[in-house]
Amino acid sequence: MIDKFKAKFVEESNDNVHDLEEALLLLEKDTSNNEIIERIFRAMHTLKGGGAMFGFNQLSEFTHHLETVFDLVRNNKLSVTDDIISLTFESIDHIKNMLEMGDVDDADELANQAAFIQRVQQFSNSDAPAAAPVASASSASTVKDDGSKTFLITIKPNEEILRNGTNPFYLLDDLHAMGEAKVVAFYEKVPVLSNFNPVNSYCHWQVVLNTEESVNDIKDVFIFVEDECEISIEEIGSGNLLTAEAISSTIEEASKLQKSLTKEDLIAKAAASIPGQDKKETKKKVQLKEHKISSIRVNSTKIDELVNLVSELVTIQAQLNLFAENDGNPAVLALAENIQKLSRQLRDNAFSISLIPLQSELMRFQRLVRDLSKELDKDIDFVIEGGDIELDKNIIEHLTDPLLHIIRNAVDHGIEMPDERIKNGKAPKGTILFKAYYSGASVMVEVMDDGKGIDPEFIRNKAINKGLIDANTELSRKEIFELVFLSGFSTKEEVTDVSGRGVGMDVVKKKIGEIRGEVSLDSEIGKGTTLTLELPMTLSIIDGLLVKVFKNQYVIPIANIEKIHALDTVSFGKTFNHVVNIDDEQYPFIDLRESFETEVVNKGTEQLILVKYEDRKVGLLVDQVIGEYQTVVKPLGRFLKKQENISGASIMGDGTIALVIDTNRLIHNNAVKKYRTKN
Amino acid sequence: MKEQMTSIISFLINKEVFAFDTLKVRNILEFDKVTWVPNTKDYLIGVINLHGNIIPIADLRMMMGVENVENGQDTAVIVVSEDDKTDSLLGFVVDGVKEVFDLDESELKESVINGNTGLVHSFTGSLHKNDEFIHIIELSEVVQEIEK
Repeated sequence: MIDKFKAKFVEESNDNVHDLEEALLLLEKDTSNNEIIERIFRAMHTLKGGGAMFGFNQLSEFTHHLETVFDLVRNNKLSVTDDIISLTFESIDHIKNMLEMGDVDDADELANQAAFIQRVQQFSNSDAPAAAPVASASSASTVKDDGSKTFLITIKPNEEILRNGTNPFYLLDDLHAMGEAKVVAFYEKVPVLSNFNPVNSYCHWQVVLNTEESVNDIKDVFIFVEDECEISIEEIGSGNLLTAEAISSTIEEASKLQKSLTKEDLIAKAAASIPGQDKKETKKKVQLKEHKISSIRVNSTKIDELVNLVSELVTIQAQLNLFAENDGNPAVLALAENIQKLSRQLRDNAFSISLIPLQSELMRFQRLVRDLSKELDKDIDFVIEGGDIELDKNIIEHLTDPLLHIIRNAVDHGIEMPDERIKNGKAPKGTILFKAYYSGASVMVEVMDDGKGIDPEFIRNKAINKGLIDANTELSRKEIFELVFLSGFSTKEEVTDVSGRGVGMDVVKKKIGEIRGEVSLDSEIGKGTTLTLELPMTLSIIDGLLVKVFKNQYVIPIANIEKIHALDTVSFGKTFNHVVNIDDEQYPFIDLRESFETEVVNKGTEQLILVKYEDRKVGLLVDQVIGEYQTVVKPLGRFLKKQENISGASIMGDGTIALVIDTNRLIHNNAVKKYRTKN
Repeated sequence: MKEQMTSIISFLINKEVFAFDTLKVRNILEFDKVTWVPNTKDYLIGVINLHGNIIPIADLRMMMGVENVENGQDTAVIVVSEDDKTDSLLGFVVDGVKEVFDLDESELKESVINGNTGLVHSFTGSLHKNDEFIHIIELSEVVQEIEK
């Protein structure tokens, strides 16, 4: 049982660490942004509290020290330096380790941790306040400013709070222990005796507390009851305001009249008794219970299962439709139609659940660029556009490795050293732009750097040297850049630590191909390099065109289709060359019967489907076009992986199978060499 | 014998009797329409829809070098899986399924096969029963051959 909680904690903490990392990267750009500092502090605080609760004591202790540093930063007693940020990054890695391993008792490890903590403490102990402390308290104060602050704390427990054994009085005791406190109890909600339920709690409290502790220490008191209580902690001012006459009389009055204390009221009273009190300070308002749960965490296998079940449902629903049509009973037809509507909605919903924004993966790349550029002494900005674009989680999973490689390449090979950039008249700081956007049924991802670019001639020569192409081969610019994706091609002369670990762009291409994506490269010398990935939005459902070739039915993804032509509008050119003339233009075509090696039965009535292939159009000759069809694509399984022309299968309404054609692979396999166009 | 077998399913191929380990068999189906997949090996005759999953079908008769395979009333598909993953489901077409029976290990002898078994080379053993020799096919080898 406890293990389950621990796992949950680790999972949630990883989110916190993630958030921490994100905030830290932002902070690096804007070191004085209080909101970000606050966010970092909060994330650390949650880690600390949770760690202690679930037995990650070392994590908790470590985070405590880190938190102390940021508490100083937050209170403007320490300014954010590169050292602090770097140390915090290191600390985050350390925290990740600790989350993975839990508490350790290995002596070396412990010594390590102690050393780390010492480094962290150096920051919090250094007594030279780097930033000027905020001049908040006015000198003309009648209340002695002894470094303490006065807070108004409102505690509104749920009615059910007593049922899980929480005694709200202990909370009040804890607050009393922190300093001088005055409590006002509100009991106007207590019902008449006949309606009174002894296991419910009807009271709420307001506490005016003077303490030297920070807001977070006060929050710690409520750490276990956060969910059962509505809690607000508001700062009224510095110094012990309880000593002020106006304040204490207000509190007494509130108690008598059962009238809630408000922050504004108290501040006004405090200001009246303390002329010149800086009001700015009181703006800070920390509310613990400010957001409702807007999302829940679900195991991803459950979602996979849901999507699978919905796919089955869609298939069966199609069968039902077919049956209802044949049956002709209007009542059954109406039912089938309703079920169709419902299952469509259900399907759309289920698929949208499995989509996640790219952003979730991008954080680690930002981190990667930062670390790598520091390591290589380069100055690089990583800019993200379209991080909110959503993709199937299975696709995103497959995307990490290729992107990691692409971005590494951009940092290592693409962007030049700062002095070299200046020499070439560029800004010393390089930029890597990560851009994602929708394009039809696909998602395009571009990784663009403004580095030195790649010389096509260099690629060509290298390919010739490696024996990949013949020295006399005529290649278009695009085709030259394609060479980079051949196996056995790596443009960097020496293997560096950063990239070139034996995996080349061919692996990237293969990985992207596995998720039915395409990758291409373009580059201009001196201006930079762009890698473009074209990805399907989801793996399991496509809009397709149902066609017939010989006796079989096939599905061609509609996203790839440009136009459909009846054969009589088409005139074949020199057929030995496999070219057709349509509207005064020539297109290469592939006879599917030929490439599938089937009999040709109905010569003369075929139809030609023009599909997009890279930047040209290629015709596919089929026996018959049947119609549009939305379909769930099922994998063919490992035994049929060898053939590449078919990417999956779909079960039709009547239970028969239609195979899904991967037009890109098909054309590539059949034709790419034959139909080279001069350009 | 690599592992313990408790029972086997025997079937006919070209009038000879062969068998699979029962534990590996998931389903036995009547031979029905198969959707042919282009650009695959000859003996991979296509795919079928089994409870919403796409299962590839291999003609074991063709794999074993039988010429002129004919499909009749008894022709059946034995669906096997080496592990329990849907990904490894695979159907074999045979001339007919005979029976399931328990195996007494002591009855098992080394298989004497004189060459002509096509792509199927590996046998766990043979036994003599009711005047017939039953050869037990080592499934993993056949699966490897298909995956090649």
